[in-house]
Amino acid sequence: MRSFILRRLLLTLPVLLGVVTLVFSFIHLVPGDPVQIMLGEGAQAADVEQLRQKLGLDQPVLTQYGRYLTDLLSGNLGVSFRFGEPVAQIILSRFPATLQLAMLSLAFGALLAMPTGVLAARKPGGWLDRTLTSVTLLGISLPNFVSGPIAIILFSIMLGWLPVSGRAGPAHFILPAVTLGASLSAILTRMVRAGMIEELQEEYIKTARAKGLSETRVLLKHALKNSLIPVVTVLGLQFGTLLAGAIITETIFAWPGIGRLTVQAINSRDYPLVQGCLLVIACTYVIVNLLTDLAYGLLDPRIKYQ
Amino acid sequence: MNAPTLLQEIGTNRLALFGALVGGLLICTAVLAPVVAPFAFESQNLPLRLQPPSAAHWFGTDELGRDIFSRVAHGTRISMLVGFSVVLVSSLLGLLAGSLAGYYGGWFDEVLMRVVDVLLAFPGILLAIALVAFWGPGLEKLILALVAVGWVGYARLVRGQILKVRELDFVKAARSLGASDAHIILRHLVPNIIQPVLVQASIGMAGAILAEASLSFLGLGVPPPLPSWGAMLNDGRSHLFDAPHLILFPGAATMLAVLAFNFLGDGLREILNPRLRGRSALCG
Repeated sequence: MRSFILRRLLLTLPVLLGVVTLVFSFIHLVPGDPVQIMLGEGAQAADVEQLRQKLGLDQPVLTQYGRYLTDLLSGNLGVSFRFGEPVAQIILSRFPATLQLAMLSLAFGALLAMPTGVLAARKPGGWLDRTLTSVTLLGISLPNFVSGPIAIILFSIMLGWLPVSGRAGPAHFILPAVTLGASLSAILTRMVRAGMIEELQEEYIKTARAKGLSETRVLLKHALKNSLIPVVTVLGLQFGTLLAGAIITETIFAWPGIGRLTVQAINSRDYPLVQGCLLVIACTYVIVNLLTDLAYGLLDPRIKYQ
Repeated sequence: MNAPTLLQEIGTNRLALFGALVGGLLICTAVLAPVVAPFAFESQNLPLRLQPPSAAHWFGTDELGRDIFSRVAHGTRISMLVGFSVVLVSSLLGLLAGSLAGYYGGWFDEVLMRVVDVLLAFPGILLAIALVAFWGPGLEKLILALVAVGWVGYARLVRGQILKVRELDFVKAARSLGASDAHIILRHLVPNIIQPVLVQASIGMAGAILAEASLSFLGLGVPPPLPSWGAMLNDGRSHLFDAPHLILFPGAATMLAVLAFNFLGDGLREILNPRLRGRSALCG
């Protein structure tokens, strides 16, 4: 197990280096002079040169890359052009809000998916299964930039139950978390359903029923437990999708997280901040995938790491 | 499976049939948008701003008095154009890179897989957002960014399939008869691995439509006054209280298009792999 963890860690390092290199190269993809674009057309030549030097863009690309890596190792992501503060500090102040939202969405998705998936799998092809399958298909196809505004119209404007935007109290979490977690919940429901149908055909289920165990115990204690392994994989993989989805959800609900910060940074052409946000989201995604991978062994003792 | 049999199978598969019919309707709307739309998509009429749906304006009007039905119809053009361009170029690039890597292996395969690892380290649409953020908005840049993200999935799929097929007897037979590598790849390998690529292309179409709408929603997609469903949804956000119809129609159009191409992909997967019948591919 220890050698597996070590090997997975070693395999992740080149990917992280690749991500860092790609994020570094983004500023060189800007058509024209990135400094001129940041400052606008009316900027003085002296200001342009000063910012160019400050960002290190007057140096050869390899020197810039070396400096970027060295700075990164010491936690320095540069200085935001818009806020005038260190990028790392700004991201640190916003990241907890995004993590909170992502975790809540994940919890919402998983908690809704498990009972619905189990219910659908009890009688495959029955009316309940067909209804739930259709609803989940709609859920998968409903983008959060459609479901978000519709949820605001229904629950904030028409019914007046929930706040439209912001992060002032627990009620503010509900709409963004449900919007972000809705399609995840639909995907997970289908995963749980498929896994349960497969498990319910196994011999050990027949044995459990023959022993006279209650149907609830057979479903929840035996079948569900074993069908959850692929679900955990999807949960891990979907965490990254949630982080990316947070960019849109946070924009809709004015949620003060890293997603909204990314959009604000893009709109104000604050390239160091955009790079920092992208780097943090991508690295979080890589690390969560690594942790998901490592969790397999804990969840399924049948998996032997060679 | 040949084309007539495939069409026949689509006719008997409910998911695929629904997807094909709605997809066909969307393509017709895209082609015939100038005929279908009663008004020019950019034509403003300020006295009639934010009108609810009526006989004159079926989907109502937006904040500049533009006819929403006409804009949704023209928006179909953008969605279909982006969807087809991205799927076509990505799948061709993926076929080329994946075939070469799978067939020859070696350093090219190693390099390709490392590139794939790095690109897949970015969650879904994030890389496209990043590229457009630095390249700047515009239809061509948007398509290019989505291709830069999209080809990876095809390359990985094709490489895996080629690795499975390249050791089969008919390939060895072709090689022993003196067929060139290009001939083996194009005439023997690619036709045998094209079916899963078709499924991925259909689901990729839904993904490209969704990605275009997402980027336009964030203001990173098609520049105004071109009507994109995502941009229309973004415009509608400031009128949720007084004119909710601004988001309902472009939202419904986006959902219908994504649903149709997801259904088509799901149905195709069932048709081409009968073992999956009754088990939707969308579950993972």
